[in-house]
Amino acid sequence: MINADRRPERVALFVTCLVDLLYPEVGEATVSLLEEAGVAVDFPVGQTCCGQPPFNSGFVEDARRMGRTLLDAFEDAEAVVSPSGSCTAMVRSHFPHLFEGTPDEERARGLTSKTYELSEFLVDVCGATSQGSLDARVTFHDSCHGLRELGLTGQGRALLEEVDGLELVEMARPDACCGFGGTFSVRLPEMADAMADDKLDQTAATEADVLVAGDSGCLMHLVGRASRRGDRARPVHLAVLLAEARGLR
Amino acid sequence: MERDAFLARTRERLLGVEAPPLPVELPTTFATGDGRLFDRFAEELGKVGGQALAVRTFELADRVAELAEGCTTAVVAPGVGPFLARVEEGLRRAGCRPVEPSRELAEAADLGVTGAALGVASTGSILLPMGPDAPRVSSLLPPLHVALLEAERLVPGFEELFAELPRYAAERAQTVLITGPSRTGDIELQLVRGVHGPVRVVVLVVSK
Amino acid sequence: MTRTGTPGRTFEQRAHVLLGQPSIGRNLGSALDTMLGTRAALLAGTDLEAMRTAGEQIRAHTIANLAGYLEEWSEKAEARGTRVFFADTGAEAVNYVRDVCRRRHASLVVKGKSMASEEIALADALETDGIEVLETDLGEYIQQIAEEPPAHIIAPAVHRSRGEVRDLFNRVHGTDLSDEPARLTAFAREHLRAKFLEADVGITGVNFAIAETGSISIVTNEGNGRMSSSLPPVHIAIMGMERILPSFRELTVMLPLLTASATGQRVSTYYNVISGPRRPEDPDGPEELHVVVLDNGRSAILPTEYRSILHCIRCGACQNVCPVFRQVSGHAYGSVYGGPIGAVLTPLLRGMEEAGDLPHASSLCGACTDICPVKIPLHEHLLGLRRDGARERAGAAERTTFRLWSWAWSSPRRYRLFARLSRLGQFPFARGNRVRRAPFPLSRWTRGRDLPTVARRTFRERWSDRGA
Repeated sequence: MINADRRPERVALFVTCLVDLLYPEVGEATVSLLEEAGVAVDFPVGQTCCGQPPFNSGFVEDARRMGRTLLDAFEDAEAVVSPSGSCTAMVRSHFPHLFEGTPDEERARGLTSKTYELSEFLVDVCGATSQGSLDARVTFHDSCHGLRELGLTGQGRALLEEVDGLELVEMARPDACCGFGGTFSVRLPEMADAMADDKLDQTAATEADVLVAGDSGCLMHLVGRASRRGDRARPVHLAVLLAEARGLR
Repeated sequence: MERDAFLARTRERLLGVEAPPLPVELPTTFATGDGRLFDRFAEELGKVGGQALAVRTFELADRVAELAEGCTTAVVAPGVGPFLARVEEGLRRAGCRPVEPSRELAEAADLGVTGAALGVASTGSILLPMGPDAPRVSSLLPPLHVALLEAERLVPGFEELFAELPRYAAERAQTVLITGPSRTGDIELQLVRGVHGPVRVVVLVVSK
Repeated sequence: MTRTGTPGRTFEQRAHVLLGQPSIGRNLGSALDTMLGTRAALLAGTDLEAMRTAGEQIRAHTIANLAGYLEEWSEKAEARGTRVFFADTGAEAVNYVRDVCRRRHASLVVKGKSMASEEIALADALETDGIEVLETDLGEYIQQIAEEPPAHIIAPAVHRSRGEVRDLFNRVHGTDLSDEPARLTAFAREHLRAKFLEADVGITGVNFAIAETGSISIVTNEGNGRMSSSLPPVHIAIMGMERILPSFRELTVMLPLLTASATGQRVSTYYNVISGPRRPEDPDGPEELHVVVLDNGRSAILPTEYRSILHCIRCGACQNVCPVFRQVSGHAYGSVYGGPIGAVLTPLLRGMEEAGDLPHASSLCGACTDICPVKIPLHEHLLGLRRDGARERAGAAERTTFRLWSWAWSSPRRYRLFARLSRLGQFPFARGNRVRRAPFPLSRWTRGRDLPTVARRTFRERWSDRGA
């Protein structure tokens, strides 16, 4: 793995299907933050999706079909950065097993060793510090895959703490799952809603203006539910908030 | 199913499975820390609602008399051994009559007095091997259980406890590790002491 | 008293009923937080990772050598007068126990907590034989008189408030008790006391059998385990075949791992080691000790990738931390085993036909794997079972959907076309930048949440706009 001693000059952006199709501003914010950190960004257009939806439903061949587009797209990249803990975790934790015994085994392993989630790249590799200013009361949701599969224990919060004027408050259980879980949110919608309600109730109790997370899946789920409930706090992606604080667009 | 068939099928289903070795070193779970074993033992037993008292042999009768105050009958296990005379004296002073450890009498008794084979400082536990020297009912039915533990039988922790336990387990039909009074949290996780076992446990740690 | 589970054939149906009772989630939530907090406080300052690693190794070693340890254990147990019965199926186990009770003319049985006995519906069977069966663990007793199965492995009535327990006791016993837990417990103590003293048979579970001495051991706090194994003339212990350890040495780690994870204790109030029925010189104790070693689908798991599920020590920590379990309790799983352990074990024991939806009753957050004291990769097993399900049982509609989806997205050109078509297709449903009511299957999303619309310009379109 690359570390702070060997920061790459260029990285390839793994934008993820959710961001590409639904939240392009997250992708743009990601690019801005990386460029600000002195890293040039490429966007290999061959990428589509990491294959999590079929994978989590047990359809491995379908997952491989989708995931292969990443193997193709990022073959020549020195490093790959993604604004999604769950998609990064799909690559790092599951690609080796997914492509084991196939002709793509080696490429999959290669991709595993050079793919980073955005906040871990900014903090651990770029040593990013001052993050601008934003007057807001903010609470942070630890997205599950980032936390448990990638071990992202503090990078997101570290970046938020560097923002002048930003007040970071903790909800009661920041590491509790929001209920998205990919297809889970459609298979068991009532349960997913109850879990979102739990998260949004916790958020409301902090009186935060903003609910920040590093995963667009979580955010889509929480925004969608908050919209029905009329919650005050706006769920926002970490990259978007940081770009806002830095005055980048 | 016949035992041999059951075991054979189990064996067959494990064919080719690699068995990792048992760990050579086991991590210490709860350290005893520095300081006297008795202090640690008393602290841990106190945390779970029990009580430990350091007692010299000569004052044993007094202690027992204090604890037995208000008790009408007591079940005394023969396993109190060398302390039997002093225990009986203490009971006498408190006006408490020793009775046979039958089920009916133990159920009616106010107090059960037993020995203890071992004490564990890291948890405040005592080990009671059951048998002719320790009828089961004596530490189970009466609401107050007083156990006499020789001070040199206090060990630091689980490592020592489980090194000794096989000996008792091999000899006795039942051996019980007791840590304080019976308890439950089954209603709203509120801790309630005194469910089916004793409501109060006092360990007298006896030294010369 | 047969216990009725929550109505519903699927997890979704049962969860629907339970989600409709907000008190369950509320009571559960605070109880589970307390349990997790107590555990965390206890384990702070210990080398938890070292304990978990040792625990994993010990269980893996034991299960890999299971036949050998069961053989050693049963030889030594029988040498001390224990009657060991190996039960292939739950029915075999039940019939053995019924035979013992019949031979002893048993009319009253007292029972300590045993998940294995509930798995095989033992109490029901004895009751149809006309035997009175009394649960003596307070939580199990509450659930018994409520005519409900347990809601949690360790705290069976964790979903009930004190007021609910009071109302239950007063209704069933015609009493006028307050809702103070101490008062309710004192009532239960008195009520069950006489039963312990009169019972013909005591039935318990087994937390750990110890091969070294042919012993079984039981972990309790209330004393009901001691009562059930000491007072009645017959003691029958139901033991899952995997609940065994090589020797007492391993307990140095396994016992505190269990008690810390289950109830946040350094050790349970009673750790009861039983090596046989009473000896001739003993003043008390049961004349007969029977141990029923239960397979009931466990050995079939041994050659599979799921073998490590048999490492489970039934601590309940995975249930405490599961965000799905927290909302509905074990009752949603339609099985004695709920939460993550149940979502893996139930389909393995009962078959995917019956329980194939359980592995999907999870958002795969991984909290269970993180907390398991013996490091069972629970969420990996859930994924594995989903793969098995996709291969063997997936409906044509689901299979086709993923097939089409992966075909469409296996080429960047088709993916871009998909984006354009979605933008067009969403038009009748979009209100501003939101979709409030989407067509099936996305209708399942929009029941409770808004959907974002596909962006007017996707990221890759913007990127190519910028001319990079």
